[in-house]
Amino acid sequence: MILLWGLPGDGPLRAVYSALTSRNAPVCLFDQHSIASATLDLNVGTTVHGSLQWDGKALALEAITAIYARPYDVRRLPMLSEAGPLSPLWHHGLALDDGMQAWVEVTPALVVNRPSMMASNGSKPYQAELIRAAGLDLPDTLVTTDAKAAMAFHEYHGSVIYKSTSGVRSIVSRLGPEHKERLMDIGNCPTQFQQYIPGVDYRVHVVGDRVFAAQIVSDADDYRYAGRSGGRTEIRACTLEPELSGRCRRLAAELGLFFAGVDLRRSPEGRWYCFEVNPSPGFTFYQEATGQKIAESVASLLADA
Amino acid sequence: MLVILSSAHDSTARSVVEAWAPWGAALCTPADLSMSGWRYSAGKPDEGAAVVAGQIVPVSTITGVLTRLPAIHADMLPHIHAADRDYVASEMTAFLIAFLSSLPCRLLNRPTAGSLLGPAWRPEQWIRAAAKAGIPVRPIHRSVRLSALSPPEPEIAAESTVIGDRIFGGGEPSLAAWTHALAQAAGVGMLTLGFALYGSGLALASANPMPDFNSHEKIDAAREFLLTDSKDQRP
Repeated sequence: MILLWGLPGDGPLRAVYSALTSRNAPVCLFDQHSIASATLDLNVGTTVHGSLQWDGKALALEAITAIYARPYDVRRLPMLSEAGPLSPLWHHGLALDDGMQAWVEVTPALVVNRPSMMASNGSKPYQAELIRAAGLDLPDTLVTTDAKAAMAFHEYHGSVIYKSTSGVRSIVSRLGPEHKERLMDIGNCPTQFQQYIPGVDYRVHVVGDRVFAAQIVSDADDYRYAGRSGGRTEIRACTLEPELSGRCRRLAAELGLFFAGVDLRRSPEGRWYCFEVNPSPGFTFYQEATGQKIAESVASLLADA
Repeated sequence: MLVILSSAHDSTARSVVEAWAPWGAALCTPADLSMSGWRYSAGKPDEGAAVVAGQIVPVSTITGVLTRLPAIHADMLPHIHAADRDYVASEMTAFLIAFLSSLPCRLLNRPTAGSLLGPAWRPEQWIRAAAKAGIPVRPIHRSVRLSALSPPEPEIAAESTVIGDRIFGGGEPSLAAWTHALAQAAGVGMLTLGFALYGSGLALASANPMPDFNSHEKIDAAREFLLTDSKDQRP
């Protein structure tokens, strides 16, 4: 049995579910909207076993061979936020989420992806060192609370972007003259600055041994938000050189990720830079634009476990 | 310099700073992360600098780090605007994970991607790691139901702590061997294990990568471990 964990409205989860049902694979979706009725019994010792029940369904944990985990932050589910942090439902939701997280860490089933393997994405400079160790280039990066150091970094590189250090999603922005006064604020919290690399963006999805590359042509600093700044983005499927594909595959494997989205940029000089590895990629955005069969590939990975 | 990273209200951390004063120890608290002077250049760890007890300290002068918190939390940042505290706490934690990981000196414990204290493991993960290492374990049963009560904590019959190469407590030689084995499997230099009676003997019931520094011997063991290989062996 393959278990999908998350919200049925989530694009990637829905796409993988559809691909699994198309191939008649045994699949079950644990919908987080069912938290109120859900129970979990988890036994961990020399073996891992137990049961998960919700809405009249019951699964033996030891019968699950593969898991695709895309859980939404339970605290943001309307039923929990409406009930409030003092309610039994709130505590139950958090306890269930914690129990599920514990189970996916220790189960012998294939997990796409285990939370502990995804954690490196929570510290961008930490993950950057793992990317460097895997043989991919990175832009020059400074994290500092020193406004003078940030100014010197800007002057040295000429053009610099700033972005979150943690996994909290932020819009990548170019440092401009209008930010110079605000630079004094970085004394409150270490801030990440990165050499601006001009060039063309690529999103590479690694699914097990398979690699799907897409080229992104955009006039925005952060193509994900091009629409907000009146910019345009075009995405098309492409093929990477085998050596680069191999490095992306090795990087995902070394991070312990069965499925990953690798963000690359090719500079005008032909040099490849890696910005980060997304351990839970929202791949449907790229799949819809390119027609690449990423969901089918994830389904195949899960079904073959 | 030996750096002790802790919350501002950690009295044990202050005792350690006092005990290590002859070796130039100082306390680094979350407030230091809101001071100008921190610097981390990716791939160039030697160019880094920290702010410790309000002073800028080049990375090259840090000889060891004892960490006593798993992450920076919003409630440790009263000097930050309330609306920004959660975000700033996440940013500071992410920064420290990268910064500490890049240090060439010894750390107790070396951070992982998930925690400043080493592995961010849940009890089930410690039990599985122990079982895989051949250590007897007391199984954990987690039952999650709406309005269910938390199960009682197992009664700990014996504790064993490893700090560097030294073992504290335990009594039975097998406990010391198991503690060393699990610390090695987890990649940590300090760890306290709790053992409960189970079946015909003792079995692992709990693990904590932040031991209680309740004796001078433990504080000395941490210092000896951190300064092993260091040129700075004052006094």
